[in-house]
Amino acid sequence: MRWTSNCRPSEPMTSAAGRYHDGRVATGRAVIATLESDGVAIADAAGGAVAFWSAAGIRLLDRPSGGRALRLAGGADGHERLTLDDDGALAELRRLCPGLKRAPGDGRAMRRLLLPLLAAALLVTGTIVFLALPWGTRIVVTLVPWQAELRMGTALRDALIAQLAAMTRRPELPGIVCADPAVDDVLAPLVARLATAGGLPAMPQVTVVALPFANAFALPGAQVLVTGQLLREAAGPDELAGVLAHELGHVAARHGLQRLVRSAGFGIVVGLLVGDPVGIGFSAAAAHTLLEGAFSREDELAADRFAVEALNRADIEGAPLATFFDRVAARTGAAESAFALFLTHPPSAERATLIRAHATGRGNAMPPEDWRRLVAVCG
Amino acid sequence: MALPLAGPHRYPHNEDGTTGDRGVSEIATEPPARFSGRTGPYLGLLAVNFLLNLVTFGFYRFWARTRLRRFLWSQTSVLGDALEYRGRGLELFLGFLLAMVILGLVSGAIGIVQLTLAIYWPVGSQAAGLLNVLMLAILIPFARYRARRYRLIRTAWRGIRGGQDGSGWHYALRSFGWGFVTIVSLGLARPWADMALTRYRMNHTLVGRQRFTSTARGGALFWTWLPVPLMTIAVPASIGFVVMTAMWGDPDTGLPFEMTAEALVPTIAIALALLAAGTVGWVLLNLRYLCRRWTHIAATARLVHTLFSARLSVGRIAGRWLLALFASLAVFVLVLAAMLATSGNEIVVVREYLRFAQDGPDILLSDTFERFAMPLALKAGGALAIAWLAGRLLIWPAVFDIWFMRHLCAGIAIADSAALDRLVESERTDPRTGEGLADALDLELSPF
Repeated sequence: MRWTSNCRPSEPMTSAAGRYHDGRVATGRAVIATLESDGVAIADAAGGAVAFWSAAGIRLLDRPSGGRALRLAGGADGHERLTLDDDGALAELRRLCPGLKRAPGDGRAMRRLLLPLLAAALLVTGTIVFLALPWGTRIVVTLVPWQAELRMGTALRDALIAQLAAMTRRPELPGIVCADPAVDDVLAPLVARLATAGGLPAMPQVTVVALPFANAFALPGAQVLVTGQLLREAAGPDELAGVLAHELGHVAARHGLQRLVRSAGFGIVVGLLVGDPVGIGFSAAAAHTLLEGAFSREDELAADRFAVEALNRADIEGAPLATFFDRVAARTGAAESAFALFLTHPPSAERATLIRAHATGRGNAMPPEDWRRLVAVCG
Repeated sequence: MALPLAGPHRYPHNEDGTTGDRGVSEIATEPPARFSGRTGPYLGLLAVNFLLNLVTFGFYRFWARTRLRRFLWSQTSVLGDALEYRGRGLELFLGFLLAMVILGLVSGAIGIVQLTLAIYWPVGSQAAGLLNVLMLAILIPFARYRARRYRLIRTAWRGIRGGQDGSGWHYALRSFGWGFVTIVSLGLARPWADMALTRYRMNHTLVGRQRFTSTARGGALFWTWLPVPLMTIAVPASIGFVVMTAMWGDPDTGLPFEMTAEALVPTIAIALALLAAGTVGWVLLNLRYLCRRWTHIAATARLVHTLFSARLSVGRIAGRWLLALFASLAVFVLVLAAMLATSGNEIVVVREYLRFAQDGPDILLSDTFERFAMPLALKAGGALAIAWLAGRLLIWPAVFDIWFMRHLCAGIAIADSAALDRLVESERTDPRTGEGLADALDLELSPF
């Protein structure tokens, strides 16, 4: 706080007892501080002058002793200290010096550093998160030869299937993979047709697994897994073709590999920003989810676009895929919009609209008898 | 004008105004160190800090830490005069920005190298991961040493600033070396490592121009330390033993290891109980070591002619700690019970699914199970979050923190403190930015 020049000491002179330290030696002295119009006069027990603090340089520091004492800084260099034991003194001072407030001291030198450092930090962080990471990810991914990724994909798929198989102990299914001949006769040609239409550099391998949820996912290395439940729940072969084409879109753009590379880079940058490098706190998790969500939503839209193009070129109807998203939207509805920023996929209604707008195919994915065979592959 | 020399909250003074005592045998009757902070203002401060941190996504933490330190320092008095914290949030923030720039560039480069290696030479990328660990093993002690220096140079007592010389890199290398020794010795060498580093820190700690000296020895603490690494081994060993016994060969199926469904739940229950008891026991043994360690460090420290001693009551501290722990657990259980009281249906369904899962766990992957299990999981998570918040902002501060500070200060005795009246300030000028590396790595795991 600064004493303003319009401090008005009352008569008799306002004074309080306290301790004084001169900031050069630790020895303290018991003193009486008297408030005058242009500052504070500090005198010892005998009345001899000890120091005089001019009003402009006096600061309120803190309230030690559980708030019952008052500590002030002042003097020529601001290093002298006065501790007043009378906590009534503050009220009195405030009454006499209306302009009193706490000022932390001279920060001019520091404030000059603030803007340049802030700009530099924002620049470095922003460049890393929004430029270097996505760009670096894309470069790294293009540098990985398809052969390497295919090998990685096969290994990943086997590991995943083994893990899922260990959780199942159904005597009627020897393993988790549904190896019905319909998979090779019906499903593989469809996938090949879509892959050629989409221009994939390698032929993807599709495996049907008997799991109790309806889903399809693309692993790195052109591996696609489809659950038997999805085959049973799909409204028709064209809908299945749409979902497969979407997954092939992830394969074509190598999103799996990109996500691996990206998550490695995100962690430490985001952690540093919010002060949580280990990433165990809520802030780090939230920031990470937000950023990863944005990138992953982009990936999903890109896969949707690939799917529409592949379906068009293979001359398969795109509308059934849109109705698939309509069903998803109806089921999840309000929750999607509430958590939109955190979700890894864009709102389903939006995806359905996008597909309807661009789908031009008119044909069917497969004849009905083939579809009936396919639906029953997992028994 | 009569001058009151001793007020209601004044440290007793000698006739010439000094507060030090003259000889080893004349120890002032009032305890030389005192913590006068009150729980109310402390809770308020924590609450405000938390809210501001929340709305700024953690950017407020520099000012929050500064405010907390100002409170704690100003309520701690030695020989009647309170400590003063002269640090500023802006300094910490600037240091953080600087560290962000440097660390951002460095970790960006390391990340690229690591990722390239991950693809072309997986073995090499494991080695690169090791390099990361090494880098942190050196950077972290360096940052902590520098952070301690910042706290010291921004602390003043009776107008005299603290200080710390010595080299952060020397300290980091010592810390790294001792860390290696500790690991190789399976933790047994910790007291020697601890005291060696403490001696370095203390011998480089200054008050004005005067220097602390420390003659702390690891050997004095070994027997106090030994139960801790023994417990660290005993707990997992006992859990492993229990699990192995439960899984021992089933003669019917002929498999060497098989966990039957009936054995699963009791085994998990016993393992969890062992883990809980073991963890609490470990914490208490560690607490005992920390208390003895503090006493030893104080007893072997000197500042000019002044000697120190410190006492901490392990029993009372442990009691308070357990009280706070049980209070937090009680809050968690109550909140969880309240939340689950409205989920009767979900609980029934989930229980059935879990029963069937013993035959085929893949049933837990189904959509239906997720639909019932998700709300339960969310409620449990919510109860945990509420209990954690209540613990951090209310229970621990109210039950433990303030009491502990008071207990810590009350146990300190200072002998021959006359020299403390004659400490002289040093002439140095201090830098204006905080120790950014420690802040950027957020190594202030304690809020002080």
